[in-house]
Amino acid sequence: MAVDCGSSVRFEDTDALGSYKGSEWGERLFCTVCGSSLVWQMQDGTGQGVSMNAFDDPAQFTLKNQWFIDKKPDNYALVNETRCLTEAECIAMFAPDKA
Amino acid sequence: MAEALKGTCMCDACKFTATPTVGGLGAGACHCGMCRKWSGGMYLSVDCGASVKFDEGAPVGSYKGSEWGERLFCRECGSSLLWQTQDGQNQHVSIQAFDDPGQFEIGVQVFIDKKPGNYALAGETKTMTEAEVFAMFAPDADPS
Ligand SMILES: [Zn+2]
Ligand SMILES: [Zn+2]
Repeated sequence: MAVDCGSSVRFEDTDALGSYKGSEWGERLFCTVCGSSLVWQMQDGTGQGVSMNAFDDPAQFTLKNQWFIDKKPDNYALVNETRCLTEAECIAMFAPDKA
Repeated sequence: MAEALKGTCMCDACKFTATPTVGGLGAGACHCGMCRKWSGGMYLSVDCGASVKFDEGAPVGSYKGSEWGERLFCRECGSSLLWQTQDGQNQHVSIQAFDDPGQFEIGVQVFIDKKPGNYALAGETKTMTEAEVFAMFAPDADPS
């Protein structure tokens, strides 16, 4: 669960920061000491979606979108009323040349 | 007879097998602060006893977040893999590490009182507060 933070993330210290490029465009930042999931971003450092749980008050954010809803396993679902986008809709929105 | 399931992280460097415990705690969601920071969401896992076997050389990282608990993750890609007690027992493996995460019935939500108010799971499950979890698993520990 992540909140769009543009390209505003500043780490105090990047010694423990891990990076994993899971696709041609995306990159995941995590703590190599404890494994905490921190940020998903475009490889150019924009489009930073920060894990809401990394903040002191995760509840301050309203969940508006569920991405890749067609990839969600059937054994859980949120009660929240959100916009739901399929993988195809996500790719059409963010990478129209790849659709 | 339960069979061993294959699990892996995002980057495939940490491959393992694990067998969900027959008659064990089954699958559940944890909303505690550490599980949420670690996994990025709620932590969905299934009780696999002490059955997890990693492939030789898997780059498994370990973080001991409490006096009794330990979290294993991939040092290459950061995937959350399992929570266990530090004696290597009570391995609760991320359902998402398996090929078919949808096969597990989410029967319980623990640390429900630590869940942020901005999301909730649909459907009926058993729920346990932090105090109820400590009373059941560590009656000697003082959670306060
Ligand atoms: Zn950390
Ligand atoms: Zn990995």
